[in-house]
Amino acid sequence: MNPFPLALAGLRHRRGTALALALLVALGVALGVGVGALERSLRQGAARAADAFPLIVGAPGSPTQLVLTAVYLQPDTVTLMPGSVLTRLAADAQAGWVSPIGFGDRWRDKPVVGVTADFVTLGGRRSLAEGRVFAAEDEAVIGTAVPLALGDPIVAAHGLAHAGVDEDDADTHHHGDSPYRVVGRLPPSGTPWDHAILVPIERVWEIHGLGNGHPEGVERIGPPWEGQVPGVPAVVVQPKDFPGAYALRARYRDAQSNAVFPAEVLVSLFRLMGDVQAVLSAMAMASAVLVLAAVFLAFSGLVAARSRDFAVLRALGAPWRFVLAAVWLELALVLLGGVAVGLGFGWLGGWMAADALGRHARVAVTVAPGWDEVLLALAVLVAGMLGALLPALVVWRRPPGEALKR
Amino acid sequence: MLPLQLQGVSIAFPNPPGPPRIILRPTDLVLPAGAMVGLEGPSGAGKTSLLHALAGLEPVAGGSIRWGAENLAKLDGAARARWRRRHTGLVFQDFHLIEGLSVLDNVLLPVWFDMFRAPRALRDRARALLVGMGLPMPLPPLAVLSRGERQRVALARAVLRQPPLLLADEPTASLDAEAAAKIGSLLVDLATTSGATLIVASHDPHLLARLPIRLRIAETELERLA
Repeated sequence: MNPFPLALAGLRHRRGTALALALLVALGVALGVGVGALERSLRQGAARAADAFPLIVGAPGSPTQLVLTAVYLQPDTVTLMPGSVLTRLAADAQAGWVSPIGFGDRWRDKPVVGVTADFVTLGGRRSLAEGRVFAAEDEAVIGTAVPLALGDPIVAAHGLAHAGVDEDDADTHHHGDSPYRVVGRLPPSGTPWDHAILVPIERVWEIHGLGNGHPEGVERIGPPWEGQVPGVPAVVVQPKDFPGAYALRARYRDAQSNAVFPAEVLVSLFRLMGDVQAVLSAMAMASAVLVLAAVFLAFSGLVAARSRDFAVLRALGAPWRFVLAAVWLELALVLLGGVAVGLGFGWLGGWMAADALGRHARVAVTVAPGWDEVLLALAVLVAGMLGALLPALVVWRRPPGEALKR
Repeated sequence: MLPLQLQGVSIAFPNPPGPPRIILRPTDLVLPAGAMVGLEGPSGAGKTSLLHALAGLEPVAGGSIRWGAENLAKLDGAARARWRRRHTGLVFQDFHLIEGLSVLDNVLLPVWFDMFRAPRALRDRARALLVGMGLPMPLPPLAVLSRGERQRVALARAVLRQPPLLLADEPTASLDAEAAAKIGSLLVDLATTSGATLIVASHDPHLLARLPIRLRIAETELERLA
């Protein structure tokens, strides 16, 4: 038997209705798929951004704010941690390398961030895309998204959030007298740091009249800092080993400072996001169910409109499985088309939303097709195809004579 | 070819909450193989119901309909469908073609009940039937066919597999006089050629005049006129 010509004839004859129904299914599926894909990719993008930050030490307070500051360069109202903690960290035997993260200036919309050379190379693990690490106070390494070339001068403007630094000037005065020169460029990381300009922390302190952290007359850069060390918003610490990481975290959780693993903070953030996602998923599911219900209502209409055709089939002696298959196939093809298109729409929508959100947060977010969404689409498809049996059975139960007599 | 034997056949429809509505009281009738039968009677008297019963489309209330050794009245729905597929060709007043299928595919439709692809011989026969009935080649789309042409397509569908029993329900009622005459001739010619038993329910005197056996159904009685 071959019910395909008949099913296709039905679709052809009512192509407008069939198309509208398929689109309805597609929208329902796209919603569910899009929400899932978006949530997953945002989580992956956010987690990847934290890879370079094993342990962060900052002033006591919100761990989330600390992570936002150091990892995502979104210093909001960060309180400063006393410089003495930085001195202690730099001398700690269990710390591999340490780097303060100090904000102060910006160039256009790119933040100038004071760090150490170890942070630039992640203690030797990261090599630069071009050039070299800064070796003097007036040298800078730029992120991949900063539109400058090696050798270009940078005249930074004051004004990006510079938490806690007393500021008596206008918000954006030019430090025309203290330019940097670009000597290196970082490889792309897909994080807000791609937009950052990394300079020696000493220079950031000096520009704000806070000394350079070293004893009077010493003009080198990098740890140890044995002079008057200003307060810093955050310090990145690379522990020497795994037990050391926990020891450090415990040791620097006191009245003066707070130590957090960014991964840990993200997990709790994601738990919150997970709740939101559960709500979104439930809504997406509900909409999918509603769409399916609407589709079946429409299917019943479609089947009723074709009841004469089905009666003719039976009058011509079609076996029940042929009639069943023809009705079911017609509905199944509509569902299949809708689900396939919906899967594509969902991924595309998720990708576009993730891209927009990621651009906003300067985090590279890539939406890759995942099995979760395929499974969701398959679930809708299977539910729909099982449901499509109902109209098919209704057709069989109706006596054919009635429809033929008009 | 086999004779069609009706013994004590009665037809009634459930009519809740009242008693069943009787269409035909128990009736005996024997139609020899190859008989050409005209069935007349007032509208609503049960011509269509009788045809449907003979085609196994609807169960009878009582009696037996024998085609050779087989008793149609004893078969269940699926078996009647199989019997219908193998033994009957049906023609309707309103053609009942499937919109969205091509003309040729409409003729080949019953083939797909059993096969995935119509064999070459059947495709050739379908085309030959259509050409023989005067349809233009190449075949136009179904949507542009006249009513007379549509009924010819339906006729080709009915006789494609040379059924021994040809049942037609008012085949000319929705056609103009010229088309009706043409369809009437085709129907009688096709039945004559294949030796099939032909039963035509009709009001059309020209068509009825060409059928040697005449039956009349009225007020639940079936009587033989000639």
